[in-house]
Amino acid sequence: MKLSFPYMGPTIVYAKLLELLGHDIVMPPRPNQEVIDLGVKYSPEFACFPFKVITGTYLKLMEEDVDTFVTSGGHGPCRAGYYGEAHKRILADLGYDVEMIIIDAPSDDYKYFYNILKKLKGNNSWIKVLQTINIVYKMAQALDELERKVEILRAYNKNSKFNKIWMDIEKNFYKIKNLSDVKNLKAKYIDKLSEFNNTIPAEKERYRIGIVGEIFVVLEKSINYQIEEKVNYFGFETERSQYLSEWIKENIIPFAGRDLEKIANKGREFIEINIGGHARENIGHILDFKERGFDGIIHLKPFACLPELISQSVADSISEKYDIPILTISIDEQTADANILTRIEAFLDMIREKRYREVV
Amino acid sequence: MENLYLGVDIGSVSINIVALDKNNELMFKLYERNSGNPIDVVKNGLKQFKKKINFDKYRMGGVGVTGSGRQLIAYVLGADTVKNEITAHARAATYYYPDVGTIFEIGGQDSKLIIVEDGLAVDFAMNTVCAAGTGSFLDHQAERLGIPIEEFGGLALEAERDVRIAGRCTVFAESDMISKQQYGFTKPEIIKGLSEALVRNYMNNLVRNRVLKEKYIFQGGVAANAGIKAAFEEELDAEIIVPEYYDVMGAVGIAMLARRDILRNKIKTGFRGFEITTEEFKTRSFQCGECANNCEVIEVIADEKIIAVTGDRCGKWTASLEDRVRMDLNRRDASSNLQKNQSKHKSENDIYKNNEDKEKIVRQELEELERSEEISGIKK
Amino acid sequence: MAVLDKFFIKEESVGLNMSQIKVGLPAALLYYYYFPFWFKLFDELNIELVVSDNTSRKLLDKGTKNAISEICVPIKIMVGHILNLKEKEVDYIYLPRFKSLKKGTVMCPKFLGLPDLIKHTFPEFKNIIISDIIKSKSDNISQYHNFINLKEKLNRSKFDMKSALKKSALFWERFRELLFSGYLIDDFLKANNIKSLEKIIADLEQSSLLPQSKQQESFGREEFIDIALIGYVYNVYDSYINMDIIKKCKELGVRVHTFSMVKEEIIESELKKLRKPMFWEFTNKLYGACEYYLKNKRIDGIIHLTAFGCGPDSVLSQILEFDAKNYNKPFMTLRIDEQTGESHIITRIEAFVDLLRLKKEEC
Repeated sequence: MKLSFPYMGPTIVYAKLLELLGHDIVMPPRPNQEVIDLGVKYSPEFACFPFKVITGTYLKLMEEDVDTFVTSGGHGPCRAGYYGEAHKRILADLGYDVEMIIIDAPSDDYKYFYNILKKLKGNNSWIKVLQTINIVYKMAQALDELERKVEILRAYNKNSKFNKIWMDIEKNFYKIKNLSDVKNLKAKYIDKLSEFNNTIPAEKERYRIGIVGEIFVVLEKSINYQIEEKVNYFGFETERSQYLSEWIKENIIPFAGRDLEKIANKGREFIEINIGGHARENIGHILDFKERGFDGIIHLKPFACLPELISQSVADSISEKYDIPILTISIDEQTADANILTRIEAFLDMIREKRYREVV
Repeated sequence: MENLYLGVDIGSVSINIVALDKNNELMFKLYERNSGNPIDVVKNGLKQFKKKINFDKYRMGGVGVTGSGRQLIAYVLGADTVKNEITAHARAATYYYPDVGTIFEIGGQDSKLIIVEDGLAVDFAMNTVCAAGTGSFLDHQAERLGIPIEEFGGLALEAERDVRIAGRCTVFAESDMISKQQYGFTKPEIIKGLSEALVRNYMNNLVRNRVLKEKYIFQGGVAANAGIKAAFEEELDAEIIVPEYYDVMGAVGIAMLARRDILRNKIKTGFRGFEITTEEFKTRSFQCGECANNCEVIEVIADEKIIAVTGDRCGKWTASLEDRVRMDLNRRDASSNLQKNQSKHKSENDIYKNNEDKEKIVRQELEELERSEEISGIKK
Repeated sequence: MAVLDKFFIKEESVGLNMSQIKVGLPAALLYYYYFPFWFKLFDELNIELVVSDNTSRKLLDKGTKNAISEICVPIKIMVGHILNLKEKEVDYIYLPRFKSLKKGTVMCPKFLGLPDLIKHTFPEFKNIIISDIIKSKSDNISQYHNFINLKEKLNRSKFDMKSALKKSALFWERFRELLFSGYLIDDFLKANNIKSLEKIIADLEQSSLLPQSKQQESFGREEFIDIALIGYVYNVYDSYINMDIIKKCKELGVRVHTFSMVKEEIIESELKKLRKPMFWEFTNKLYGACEYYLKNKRIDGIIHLTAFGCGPDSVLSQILEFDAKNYNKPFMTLRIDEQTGESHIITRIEAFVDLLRLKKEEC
């Protein structure tokens, strides 16, 4: 069994999980133009962008003789929950005989879930599985903590310097074997990043932008046109609505706190029931960012994303009521980098000028 | 010696160059089609500029570049300010019309809507998916009808009847136009229908349910088109103003912003001089491939010498060039001049601070500067 | 605005006189599936029901302008209908939030968020939208808990509401039976009030004529072609947005079959073929019906009628396409949007029908 999976955010986390369980894995390629082109070609025209990127990733991995993919499922109403099924058909139609391991919530189909779990578990004991999940979770937490720091410091330093540090972080974390490795690495990089703490200006001179939206485009730099780097470049700190460790905590670790529910409840004023994806949570996050004194929100969504279209529709009303600027950016294969850059720059200019009236 | 501030707008369809004096008077104006080689157009423009201006009396005070092709030209010119066209357009419009409420800007491939309150841009929208609400749409249809684009707008006013043309997409508009022609609608009527289709696209994609406020300014290359202006006026039932320099407002705005940055930061312009008109520029790119990012690295070369490198996210390739390359001033740490000052008094030179005392000081300093500029120019 | 101010003041100062109350019902989205139910319900409750006008250019333009451009056409049409009701000076707009019609399935996210979308795009509507959450175990939505808000707003007793719901459900079942027997929803849409609808239903129940989908070839005419028109009710029966596709088909000698003619048991059994059914109720219905028609020898071809920007259909159409390939059944996707030209649709339908005719003659 040669395993692989879609590329999203700190992908080394899933890679590590499967690797520590003793599976033979192939690291998926970071989505680039070639992967996107492939995906666009073999996906239905009106599928959403994440779907197309994943199609491309799978097809690219066919060159490496991968025979099994692990991916998440879901029970709607967002389309993403049906991706696995749809991809299976596309690959089959192209003559590829692969197995899709789709991780659905156990409540949907117990038997199927149990079988999948057994497959992924391999010969490991359940204790070993739990230990592994714990290591990987701690690793995701460490990565997220470091990334949050990078998202602040990069605003006041050269982008390239912190991009390089971040690349080192990813590279070295991929080598970890146990909990103490995670601990040591984390401490090492916290120290390294702390050296730059003096570049952060006084509180009232800081500008912060919250980034909310659909999880795939928010987490994955290579398809969101490095949005955070762009914002940081203009001297604005960023914070996302989503980090992988939080996702793991909410969805996988049993009995963990459910902070997300609190956030989602904040959004209730605007979206009354759960409509799928993270639409309602995102509204909650916008209000949360506002409460914490953020200066603006960038709302990222794949073009024509179902749930996010609703949150986009209510965004104007939030922006007005709570006096917080919101910029919505739709992303797909036709998005132009220059267009995004222009809009972000103009948006940030607008926020700055609001605080600092023109002098000349 | 008096300072001139150069503003360059590199659009997809046209390239505009203006120069403003210290009173923001327009001293030079050039509107050129973008033939696909912006560097050559800019070089020619500079030659004309040099010929026209008496450089015994004037000198270059600062350079600003805007437009979708701003990055490369900024390197070529050694620009002091590189900014997006939304900010530039808003700057120019609010200068000429301080009480403006709404700015419509329609250019070759971009259209923008800027909402202004008390002279500040507070909201904006930009076409993202398609060009059906832009100048290219008109160009395309004018060509199809065999009418020079300059006459296009005037003709629409001659229409006697209304005809609706489906126009979300340029190609569909074309087939619908052909079928409407068969029904006997005249060219002016078809053109009026197309103008309305463009405005409808603009309204649907950019304005949506925003509440627009007077006064309305219409600028960008398409503003010359009387048919579109009329269609807007009909849609809004209000008067629309087309500024005198409607076609170069982006360049005017960026020249003003360049002047502001130069004065605020008390720096000398990084303009690379008129020698660039004789230099040979080339760009080349390669995939780095040293990590999974696979950055596409772009080098700008002037007479065999690399003057700029960009595109590498880790900074590996730019690092070697850092000292020679001037970067975007807006970045807190970017400009090499700024950096030296900033390392000690970083916050003092932070141009976007919300500190009233500082603001007062800056204002005073600026006034002094203005005065001293009149006498002896900026200190070197 | 002035219109709205008027009834806000009315509500606050005098209170609405219940016998004069007017409730607006937008003729969009699931209207086509449930209008007999709602007609009967409001009639039983003794409330004047105001239905929005048929979709038109003007109405669509309004919707397009006020909804975000990326959203699908059916939602834009809905926005247009809501604005049309505003002009009709209604006191309330009935816009239920359809959540689920079967355990385990939900509606498309845009349906789930529709009332939010309307309320926040038009804040002035916030207080006049009545949007109960509809959560049912079957297509029959007459459970009392789906109408509590409505009951409160209209100030009716629980008993009155329940008895009205019961009658409405029975009436709607009669409509459904006629659909199963082969009638198109189109055949009922002529009715714009309960009286005429009651008459149409009674007449059809007694009629000795066969519905169009079951008509036999008459002498001297071209042979009939049978096409399954797979699409949501609001795409198939909104004759403005689809350029009157049903009429066009009939003119071309096509017997039109739709998902609403397929019994639920059949759809259910077809759905079992999927390891995991889709989450969206009506998408599943289309899938089940289409699979049934694919196997049905009488059906010559399938047209999937879909709206630009429909998310669930982007998944469905891919599956249907693959399956049609397997069954070797001619299959065409027709995509409609606010800009579709009439000639475009007509050309494609004619060509498709010609193709089916040729194929039939060859056999």
